Amino acid sequence: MKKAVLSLILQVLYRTMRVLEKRDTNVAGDMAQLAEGACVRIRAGLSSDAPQLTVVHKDGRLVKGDSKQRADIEIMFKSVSGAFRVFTGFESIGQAYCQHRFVLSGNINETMCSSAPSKRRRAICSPACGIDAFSSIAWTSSCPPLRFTGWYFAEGRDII
Amino acid sequence: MKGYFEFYNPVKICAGNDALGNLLYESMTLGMVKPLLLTDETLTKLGVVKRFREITGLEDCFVFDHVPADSSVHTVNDIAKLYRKQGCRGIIGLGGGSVLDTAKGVKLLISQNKDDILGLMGCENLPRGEYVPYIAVPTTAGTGSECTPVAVIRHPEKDVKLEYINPFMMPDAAVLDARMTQTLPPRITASTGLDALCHAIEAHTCDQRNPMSNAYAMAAIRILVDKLPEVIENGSSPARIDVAVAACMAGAAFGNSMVGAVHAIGHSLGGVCHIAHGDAMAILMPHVMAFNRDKLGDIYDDLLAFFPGEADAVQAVRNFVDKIGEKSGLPLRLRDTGRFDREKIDVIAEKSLNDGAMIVNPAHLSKEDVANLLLAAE
Repeated sequence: MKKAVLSLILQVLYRTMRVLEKRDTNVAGDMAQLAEGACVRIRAGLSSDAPQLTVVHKDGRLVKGDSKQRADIEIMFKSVSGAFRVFTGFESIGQAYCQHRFVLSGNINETMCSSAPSKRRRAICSPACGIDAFSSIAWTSSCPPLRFTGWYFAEGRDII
Repeated sequence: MKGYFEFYNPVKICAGNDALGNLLYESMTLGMVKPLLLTDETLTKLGVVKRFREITGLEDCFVFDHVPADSSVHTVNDIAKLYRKQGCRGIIGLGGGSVLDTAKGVKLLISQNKDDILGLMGCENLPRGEYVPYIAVPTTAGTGSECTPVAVIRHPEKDVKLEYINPFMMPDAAVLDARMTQTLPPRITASTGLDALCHAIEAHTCDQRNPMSNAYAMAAIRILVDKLPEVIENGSSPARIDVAVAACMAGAAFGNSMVGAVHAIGHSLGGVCHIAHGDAMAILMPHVMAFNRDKLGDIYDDLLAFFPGEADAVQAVRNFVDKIGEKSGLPLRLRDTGRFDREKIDVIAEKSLNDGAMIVNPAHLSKEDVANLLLAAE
């Protein structure tokens, strides 16, 4: 059940990023820092059937990538339950980092492109931040005023 | 205690009188054969390497003494090639943070059987790999690198310091012998000592702090506040070893809880302006602490236990840094380093936000906050 929910959330996350890269200047700016062809993956567990999302920065846009493609940055949760806590808003990505819930392959500096995302409450600039933006705005009570419109979320404003 | 934490410190600490005398034994028990002795040219010129080999009796080794002050990914790759070519088994790092971090990078490359350290970037992402014995012998008391799973290695083309976090890079043993730090001039002793203090304070207050790392951090702060001034005044003071142990404890603390904004900004200052790491820590620490306190209130009150008579922990640390600066000639403003470039504040602030240490700082900093801190510290 958790895997099914995570798969759905990752799909929503992908759609959210696609919209935000067009509509949110912060996100657009952060996306511009990603190298052309850069591949980023989130993997919600260690098993081969763990839910995952692979995105590639292609022609200035984010598109879905092949799950077998070599990722430049990969965030892999150590357990499905650890990923579930983050994606469902019980833990921020910052808390998950502090509690060793995931491992990171790739350039740490580039992954931190929106540092301390749990506190910044910015919208999405990378999947790492996206997890947090998504989870915090979706369910936590401590987040700033945010509105939910259809599938998409943004900081303090509707985007579609 | 809230949530979940991990604490890992497998390093055997060999500290105190004639610790170096046991190094050969330690290297043999670890299975070293013709180890690679990594060090730098300054230590060779000062005769420290020669003395080290005399004391330890280390004969069959390959010496590489060209590790630069800010080691780079290219240096690490080149040394790994030499390691293989010379048929070494084991690494002995003799030096400060740059040498010890370079040794970790070489260990990582060899253990993963790779040629380019850039391909191994990440955080806790690699398996143990091939066993490569490693002994660290710090010649400064500050970085704590001998007890951390972190290596900071410069990427010269991108002007950034890359962080590698992997527990399997850690040394098997750390040998702390006061004879290796006795010749340090007061200014370097001060700079590295305040770096250690910063490690301990940030480890104690950052978001990843935990009961185990707190124990190490608090013990380190107590020793450093008590002994560092004495060691700066008298280089051959017996307190040298206390400061070395405190730096090692601070390393074990922040190796398990990370650091914070002082380090995030300091890494960027190092990458962009080439300001010495310890100098940056000493200058930035009071400013960042004041920022965190203003945002979060009493997070530093625990530190008052180490500063009798003081009512405000941030002011107490500022006074302590000033005192050390006066005794040692350490620069207390960024402009006094002679390397700070005001025009680069924007770049430094941007890089600071992207530094891995920033995510665990207890208060959130914006780019403007970092720029304002830099101006305040100028």
